Amino acid sequence: MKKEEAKERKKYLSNKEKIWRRYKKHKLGMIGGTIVILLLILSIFAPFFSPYDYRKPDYEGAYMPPQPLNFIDEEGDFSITPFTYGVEQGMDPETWARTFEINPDQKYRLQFFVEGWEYELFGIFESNIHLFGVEEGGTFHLFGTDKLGRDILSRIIFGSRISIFIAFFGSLLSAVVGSLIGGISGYFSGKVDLLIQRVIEMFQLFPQLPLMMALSAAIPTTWPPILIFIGIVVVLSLIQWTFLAREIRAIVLSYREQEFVKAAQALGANHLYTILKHVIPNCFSHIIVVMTLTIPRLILAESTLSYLGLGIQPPMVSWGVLLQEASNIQTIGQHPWIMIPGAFIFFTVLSINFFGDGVRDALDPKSN
Amino acid sequence: MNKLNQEALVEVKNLKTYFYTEEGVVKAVDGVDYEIYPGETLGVVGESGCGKSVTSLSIMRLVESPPGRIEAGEINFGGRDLTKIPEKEMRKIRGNDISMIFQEPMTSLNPVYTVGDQIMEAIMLHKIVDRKEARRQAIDMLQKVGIPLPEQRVDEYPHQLSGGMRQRVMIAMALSCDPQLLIADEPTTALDVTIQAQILELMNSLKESYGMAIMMITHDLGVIAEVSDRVAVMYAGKVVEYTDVDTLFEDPKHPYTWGLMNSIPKLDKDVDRLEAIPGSVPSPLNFPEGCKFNTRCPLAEGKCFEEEPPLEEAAAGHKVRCWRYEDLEEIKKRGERIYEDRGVQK
Amino acid sequence: MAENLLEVKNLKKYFPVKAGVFKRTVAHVKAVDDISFAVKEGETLGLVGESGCGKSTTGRTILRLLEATAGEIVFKGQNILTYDRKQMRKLRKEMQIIFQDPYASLNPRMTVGNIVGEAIDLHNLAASKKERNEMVRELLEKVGLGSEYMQRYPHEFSGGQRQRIGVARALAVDPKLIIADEPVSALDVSVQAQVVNLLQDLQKEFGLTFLFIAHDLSVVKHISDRVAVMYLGKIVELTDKDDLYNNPKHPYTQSLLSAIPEADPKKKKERIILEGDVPSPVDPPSGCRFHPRCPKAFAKCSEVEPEFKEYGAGHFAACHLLED
Repeated sequence: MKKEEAKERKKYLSNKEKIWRRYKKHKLGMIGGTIVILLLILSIFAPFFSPYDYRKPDYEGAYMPPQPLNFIDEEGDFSITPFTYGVEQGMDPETWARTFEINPDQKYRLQFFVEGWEYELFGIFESNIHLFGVEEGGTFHLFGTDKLGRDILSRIIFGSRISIFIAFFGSLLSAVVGSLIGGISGYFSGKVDLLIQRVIEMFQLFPQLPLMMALSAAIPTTWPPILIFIGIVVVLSLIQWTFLAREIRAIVLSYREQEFVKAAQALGANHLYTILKHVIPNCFSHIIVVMTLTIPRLILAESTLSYLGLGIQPPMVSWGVLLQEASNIQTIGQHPWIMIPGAFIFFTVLSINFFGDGVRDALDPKSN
Repeated sequence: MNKLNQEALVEVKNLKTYFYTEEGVVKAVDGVDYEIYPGETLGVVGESGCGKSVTSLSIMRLVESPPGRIEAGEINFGGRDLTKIPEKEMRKIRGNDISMIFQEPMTSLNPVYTVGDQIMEAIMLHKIVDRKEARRQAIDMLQKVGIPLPEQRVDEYPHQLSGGMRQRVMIAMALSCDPQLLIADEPTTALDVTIQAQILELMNSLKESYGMAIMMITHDLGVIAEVSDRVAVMYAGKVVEYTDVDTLFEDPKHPYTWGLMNSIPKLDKDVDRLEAIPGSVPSPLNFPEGCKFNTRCPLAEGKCFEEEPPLEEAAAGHKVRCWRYEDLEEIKKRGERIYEDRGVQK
Repeated sequence: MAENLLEVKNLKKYFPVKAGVFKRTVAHVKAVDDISFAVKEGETLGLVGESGCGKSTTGRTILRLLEATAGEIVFKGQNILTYDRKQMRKLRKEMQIIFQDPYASLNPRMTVGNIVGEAIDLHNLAASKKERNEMVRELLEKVGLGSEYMQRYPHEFSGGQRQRIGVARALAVDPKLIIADEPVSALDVSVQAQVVNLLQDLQKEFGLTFLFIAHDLSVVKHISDRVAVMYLGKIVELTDKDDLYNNPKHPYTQSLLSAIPEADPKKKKERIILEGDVPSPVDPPSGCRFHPRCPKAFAKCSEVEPEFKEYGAGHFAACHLLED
């Protein structure tokens, strides 16, 4: 009997295995998930991936256009190692505009694990190794530079930290608040429920954007950037918690009548214990899904706020802050590469959305 | 050929319906043979997962495909093999020559249409009549199934009717085209016992007046005893015993049938302890080698674990699928119990 | 003579029906409408009836999972409806429940060990984690499940096994009374017998008292000592099981008994087929609740409610036909 039992054990795919299988079926979700992971690695190890110090200005090299990597040089020779050309600054005599001329004689090859600017990782590791760079004397601005000559790619990479972490913590905070309030509302019903529902409706009455703007305008600009960061997180989650609260309330309402909840009560559990130990854990999968779908919303929200100047303040850099610099038509017309952060926002939001779709389908037992 | 020397109305031969799932192949019906003769009731009894519902869905070709598929076998009806005819022809048979009623009348009836509309739909799909005539026939059907004030009820919605009424409506829909065979899949399981009695009586009287055959699928041996003429006992996708109803209850030859009968408490007989079949039905993804009942059978030994017994004729008109049914006879003669429930189950 | 462990006196449970924008109470579902009975220590009282009769509601109200509208529930001589939260908590160790649905009664996210051990933890019945696990192991073995199942999750078990887990959970607090709310209805026939036997064994071993609620009269008769038949919120008959079968006094009991299909084709019963459907407990019929369907009803039945009286040793019934 034991042998058969062992075989039977294997046939029962564990819940986790089933979830993984379903997730793999969702192609877009897989792609999205992969990009999300890459993005996370990028932002955690930001200094390693950034060829330049994102804070360091280079007034001489301001508004440099993107430098492509070349494989074939002017004479048509192919070189395995890509390289960039040297760039010389000049000025157009008529328009007084800055020009950047490519000097084909100066070639700087791409190198990996180069030494560059110094940084501290997690406040513990000190290093100056970067993933890639070019030979001494050359410059390599893949996405060009901004008005102070700072490398846009490096700023995007560092900006990802702020954008993603704000979105994550905002989502987490709103999930915690929303689940708790929604859970209490659904579990107790009656007057408590009615009251909480009206409060939720009041919150939802306000159009999101103006409310966000008003709340973040209330954050004193004199606060240090880290406190502003926390303030923004709180503001964003204040807007978002109501959605999750409603959904959790519905789930709790349905679970409340399930017999295992009654069994716990019959055993002598009090209400708080029952909610925390029995009801909420069954909502986990739902909470996770809502969180993954809230994160992109918050990325956009933060970008909007910072773009309007109400969110993250320099010297902290987020994608929204980067876009702010792209907010006038002249700049965009003359230096269109300044909008590249927008593309990052676009792809990130899309990827996380697809990932969230995949997670939702995977966790939903009925989607089998 | 049955006792009256009639030809079978429906002949199921070696039917195999498999489901191809992520976790493996589920052999829901794995070589099933039985016949339904005109005007008789064939009871198909078994517990959950034995395949009794899937056989009936296979006859109606309502098996969801994918993941299910009729792998092999024949279902002969009216000179044709239902597993092979095109869907268009099958649709002419469904609801018309062969009808089906289900266990849950609430979910089998569309909540947004009146019961009248739903009966009329069944009628107009198969007969060439106009709406007025169809409505008249629908009211007529409601009356036949014993619903009071049918002219009123015909415009009501399913939620306005009780469970028993809804089941009657289902029966009305099923009979509206005068089928030759009515397949009833656990029709009274969800009903209260007094309502069940009403429905069973209704079905019996309709059987008489319509002259139709009934395939009654249930897990309730009491219902089987009440309504069946012949019975097929199913376990793990196969028929394990097949005979007429009197013989089945007097002389069950398969250990599973024997176990089932002795595990139900009887109103008139008092026993100290029920004879319980140990263990539970094996998972269809993991059927044992040999006889599928060997994980629970107290008589299982040797050959039972190696080779699957064939369905063979143990006595005239009485087929059993067991290597040791003769040994069971001996034990029965001695008046012993074969299932000793020691309290600790596998 | 065994003492009455549980006495239910004139118990009522009404559910308000709210309608309108302001959710005003427009009617009441009289699920349990003035019932009285007693359960002796060590016996099994069966509570049987069809859907809507109020048997499940009775069970849950006794445990105060639902709050009674009126009446008394006397457990070991004390009216527990007056208990405060603290007293109720202590009481939970003495009264437990087994549910019908083996799939909904276990938290799918908890391991079996935790499900059974939860009660032990809540009431601090174990001095250490080791002791607690030891207790859980013993309980699982008592219900016929090996202790190696402690780390598994409910979805890995069959219906019958889950029901055993539910039984183990109820036993964990060492209760005196167990209310079994349709414990075998959702199980396969062959598994029902296993669980019924198990309950009987446990009763003998632990001296338990059962209130066995079910709709299947055959099962109830097998396991109970006495049986109460409920109809639309009222008890219509109460007596010991053999008496109920051999000498049913109430017309409803008679038709219930005759409606049960017996597993014997030779027995063609004299069937009493009731007309009509089971009415709704929102608007019960006047007088005797059963009169619209009763084949023996007469004028008085629609006007006056019959009294629940004793007619011969321990045989109670509520019917005007018996009053003469």
